[in-house]
Amino acid sequence: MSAVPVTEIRRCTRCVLPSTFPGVSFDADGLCSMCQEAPPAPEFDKIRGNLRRKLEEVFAAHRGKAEYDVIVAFSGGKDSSYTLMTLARTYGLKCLAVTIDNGFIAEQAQKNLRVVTASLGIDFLLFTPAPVFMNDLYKTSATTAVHTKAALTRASSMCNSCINLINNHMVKLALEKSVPIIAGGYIGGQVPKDSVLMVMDLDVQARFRSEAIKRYVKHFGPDAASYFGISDALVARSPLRKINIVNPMLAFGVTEDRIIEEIATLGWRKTSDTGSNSTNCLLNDLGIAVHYKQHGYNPYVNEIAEQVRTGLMSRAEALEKVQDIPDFARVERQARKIGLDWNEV
Amino acid sequence: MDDKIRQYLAETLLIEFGDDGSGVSEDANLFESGLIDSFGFVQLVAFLEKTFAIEISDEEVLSDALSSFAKIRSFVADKVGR
Repeated sequence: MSAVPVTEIRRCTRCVLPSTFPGVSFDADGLCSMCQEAPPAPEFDKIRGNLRRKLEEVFAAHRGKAEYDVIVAFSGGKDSSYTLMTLARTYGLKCLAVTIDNGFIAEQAQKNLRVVTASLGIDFLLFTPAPVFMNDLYKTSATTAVHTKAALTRASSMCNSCINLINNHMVKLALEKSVPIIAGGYIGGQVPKDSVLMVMDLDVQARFRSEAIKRYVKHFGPDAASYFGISDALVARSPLRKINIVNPMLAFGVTEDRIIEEIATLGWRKTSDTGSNSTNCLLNDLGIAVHYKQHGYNPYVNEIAEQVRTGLMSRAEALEKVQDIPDFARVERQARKIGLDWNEV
Repeated sequence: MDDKIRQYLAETLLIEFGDDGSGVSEDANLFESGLIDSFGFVQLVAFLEKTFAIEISDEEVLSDALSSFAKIRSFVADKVGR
């Protein structure tokens, strides 16, 4: 796809969603179809209050019954740092922070991983998949249709592959350690609506996993079976039949400035080399550049538009973020590292 | 009912139905063709329960009843007694 200059794309007058976004339409006032269906921003406070009550019920039901109450998928970025802090301090949950080192965690983000978990007094696990596998996963994701169209509206193909690997690793750990809750730091637009709390039935999940593994092995090679799969033996020996997947940020309703202000008290510092839309990953800008070239919109636009729609970000701030499309010169080093030729994209 | 399910699947999975080769067949297996993922399936079940005021059991979720548009349409029609 030949991308339209990002500043010339028609956008929703309320939320910045572009006309290039799949399935979107505009009314006579320039309001996108998602904003037409959304309640006014102030009503989201009430919605988030109800979501918090749902979360509190789940936390109360499971607190103190296993070695850990919750596994937190912790990237060291601002959202998962805030999630970890809130679950530990506000909700008093015993957290296990787990990070997947994809080989592209910025130096400052690596410091943040240590300082945040140390400040909170939380156990911390780091898992590093083989770099050769990860590099190939990213390259293949950038050049091949791996994910559903719907998934690509929430994140770039490279991010989707990484997120799925991370999610699978969290489920494996939950089964191994009998932890009933897995928490992510995802915000609105990164995950489907209503995913503040999802109960994962392991039998249902097995069905999706078998189809997904076939696809991943086809694209990423035989090693994908272990990174994206869960053995029947592990499921069989775990007492868990269902796992609660929570995304508490959808219920918190805090602005980016407030998040950064609060986690700074733990010693967290913002990265300077991860672009406008990430606070941990050096590869993120490459994912954005590839997605924009292929699809004509910033892969972060859905979540940023949702932040504006729900009153957590100004439209001006959102525009600045979604119009920051890295040119190839900015991401060339990362592309070389994963063996990606821009002409293949 | 048919239109609501069709519209929901088309809008959320970003697909067009068509049996003349121009789109996704109504009989196409949504899982095997990689059109729906686990997030999408959880949303689909919630949509059907809410929109048609039906309950879908774990056994039904695990069966083949919701694997294609044609099967979903037939499953919901049976549930609502039409």
